Amino acid sequence: MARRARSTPKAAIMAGALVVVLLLVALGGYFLGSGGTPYRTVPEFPVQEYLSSSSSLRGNSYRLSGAILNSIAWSPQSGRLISVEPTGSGSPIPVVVPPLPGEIAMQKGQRFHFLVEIRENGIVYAKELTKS
Amino acid sequence: MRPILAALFVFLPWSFLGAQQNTEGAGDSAAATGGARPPQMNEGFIGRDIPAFDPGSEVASFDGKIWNINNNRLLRARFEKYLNAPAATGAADVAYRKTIDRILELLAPGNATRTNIEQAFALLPKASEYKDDANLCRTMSDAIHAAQVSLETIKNLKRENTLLEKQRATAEWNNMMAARSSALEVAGGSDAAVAAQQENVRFARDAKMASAKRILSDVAQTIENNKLRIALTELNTRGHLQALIMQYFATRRFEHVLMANRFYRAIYKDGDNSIDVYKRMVESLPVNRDAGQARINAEFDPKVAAAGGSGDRGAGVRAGTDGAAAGVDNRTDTDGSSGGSFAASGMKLGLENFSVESLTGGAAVAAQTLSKLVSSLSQVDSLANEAIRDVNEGVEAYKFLLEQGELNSAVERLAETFALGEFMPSVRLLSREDKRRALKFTQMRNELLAALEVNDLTRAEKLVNEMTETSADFDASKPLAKIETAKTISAMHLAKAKNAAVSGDRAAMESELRAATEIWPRNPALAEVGENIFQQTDLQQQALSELQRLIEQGDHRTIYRQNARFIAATALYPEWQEKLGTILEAMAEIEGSLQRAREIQQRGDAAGAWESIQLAAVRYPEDNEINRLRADLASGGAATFVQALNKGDELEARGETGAALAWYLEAHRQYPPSKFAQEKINALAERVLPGASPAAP
Repeated sequence: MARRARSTPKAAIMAGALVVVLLLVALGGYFLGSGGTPYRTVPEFPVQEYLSSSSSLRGNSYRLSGAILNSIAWSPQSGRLISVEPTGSGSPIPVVVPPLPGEIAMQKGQRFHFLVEIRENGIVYAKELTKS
Repeated sequence: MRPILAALFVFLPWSFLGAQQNTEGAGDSAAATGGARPPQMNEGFIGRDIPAFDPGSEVASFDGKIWNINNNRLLRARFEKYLNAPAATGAADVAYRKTIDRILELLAPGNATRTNIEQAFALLPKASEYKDDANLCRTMSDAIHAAQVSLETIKNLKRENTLLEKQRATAEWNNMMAARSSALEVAGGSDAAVAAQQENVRFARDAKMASAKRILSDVAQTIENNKLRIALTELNTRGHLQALIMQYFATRRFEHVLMANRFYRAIYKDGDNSIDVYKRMVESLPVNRDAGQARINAEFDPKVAAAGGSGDRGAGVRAGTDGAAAGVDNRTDTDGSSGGSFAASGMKLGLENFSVESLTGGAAVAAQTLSKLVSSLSQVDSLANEAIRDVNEGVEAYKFLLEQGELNSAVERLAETFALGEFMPSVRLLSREDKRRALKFTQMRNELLAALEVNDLTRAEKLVNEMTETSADFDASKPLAKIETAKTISAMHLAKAKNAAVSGDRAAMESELRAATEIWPRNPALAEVGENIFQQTDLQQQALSELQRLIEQGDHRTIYRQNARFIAATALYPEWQEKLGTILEAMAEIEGSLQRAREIQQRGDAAGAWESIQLAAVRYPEDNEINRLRADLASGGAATFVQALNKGDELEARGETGAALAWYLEAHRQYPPSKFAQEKINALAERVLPGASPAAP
């Protein structure tokens, strides 16, 4: 009987420590992992909603991540119109990338994170972007 | 000789009618010369007053008229009548022939004694009893009797003149005696007394001579009157007999010509055979050529003037007739004495009571023509004998040709002989059996002429073949050439009518059909072609009605499927052709699009097929086939592609350019060759980035 009593607190301590360790690892991983994705404070771009009715999204800013499918048009003054395939969706989204300071070279297939804003006529403008 | 005489004697009677007969040959001649004067009408060395005969064409011409002696309806009818008549072998005919032969025998040169002449004269009334004589011998008998009476009158007048001459001699003696017994004897005295006495004696002598002088003048005037009456009477009877002979000659009564001529010579034994009296008569006949009218008196209208006289005062005598009176009304101017010469003129003969004046004009022309051909009764006699010989020879020639089976020549010879000697015994005695073959051939020839006149070429060709079999010498080349030519021309017109119908030229079609009908009215092909054309026209009308209905229903595909029928139907209607052309052009494009779309679909490219048919659907949104295929593709293999495009269109229409562009990009992603998606992308890109280049630098 006495033997059972002596083993119970030690095991509980060890289990509790393990839980703590795991919790710490999880929290660390969480914070460490999300710490590389920019614009975490803005909502993700609602692809389906946009395709259904973009007018309701007008004025909103979103975070859009995806691969560049194609360059549709380009103007030195107005910038570039590209099609982006959002991560997790097959529907390409047209995004206007205005001339930005420190412009990053964009190539087809490259993945980027865009901070976008939906403006008049539902046109998606990139305010910031970073290569992922 | 026979054709020339025949032409003359055929022509003369018709010239009485003032007829202007144009024969078939004449018409051809006029057509061939373009209305120029035919050769027969040219001035010959004897002018146009004498009939001319062209043996080549068998056409006689006279006074601007031309006449085919073998091709004339009146002559044909008369000839056929003769061919149908039995031979003149009846008892009456035989008796008549014997009477005429007896008269000619009695009057023959060498037999014409006074007794024979009287016997012949006595037979004239008997001959006139037969109908074949047509009372011509009665007329001759009357004329001879009148001549004999006039000769008696002349004898009486001459006898009276002899007596009057004696009376005049007595009167002249008495006058001379009275003058002698009243010599101007003057007694002595003063000059004044002598003159007065001589004056008294002159008065006494004139008183004594007045009676004898008046008697002498009366006798002389009576003698002159009698001389004039003698001359007029002789002229009258001579003229009548000469006119009668010429009339017999003109009417081809040659035996009567001989009889009358021999009586004439028996009556007038002075040997004067000239027909000057007759010539002066007919030359005086008035003829209004412009109006074709003439008024001809039936009696003499002599105007005789005599000049002569005794002493210092002439005597004038005028004699003339008034109206139609047969007698001579003489008016004399008695203030003269005897005459020694006279002249007579102005004698007339004619047919005053004919109601158709052109007939009288024709008669006058014919009489004048005849008078120019002959100048003496001997010539007339000679021509009559020649004609009789020619007629007899013609009949013999006909019989010979008939035996040889040369019907064509036989009929021509008989027709000429008939025209010349219709009343001659040899012609009249031809048996009906001998004439039957000629009749049949003549009927066939007349039928052939009639068939050719009305362009019944089928009948004409059949007749030509029959006539060729019947007659060994029938020349079928001319009619056959005409028939074949007409057939060819008719066929050409029919072919043109068919072409015109096909090309839609209705006016030309009707014109050509009319021309073909005129050339060969009973052409069997004419009815067939006409029926086909009209059946075609009926089918065309039905097709046009259906075309109109289909156009109103918008069923262009049915029109397209039956395009050959409608193309043929609208051949005559340019406005319909234009409508049909537009429809068929559109349908050809639609069908081409459908064909291409189906081929693309068969390759598994549904989106491409849809795009192909969509292009056609934009232009032809009403076409059911296009819409059906497009719907099939849109709901089938190309559903998501079409849906993306449609969604893009929907959003673009709502002004959601960005979202619309997203859908077009999606469509382009699904079907990269899509022209529709690319065009939309380009358009919206330009809207989003105005002035931007399509590609990135």
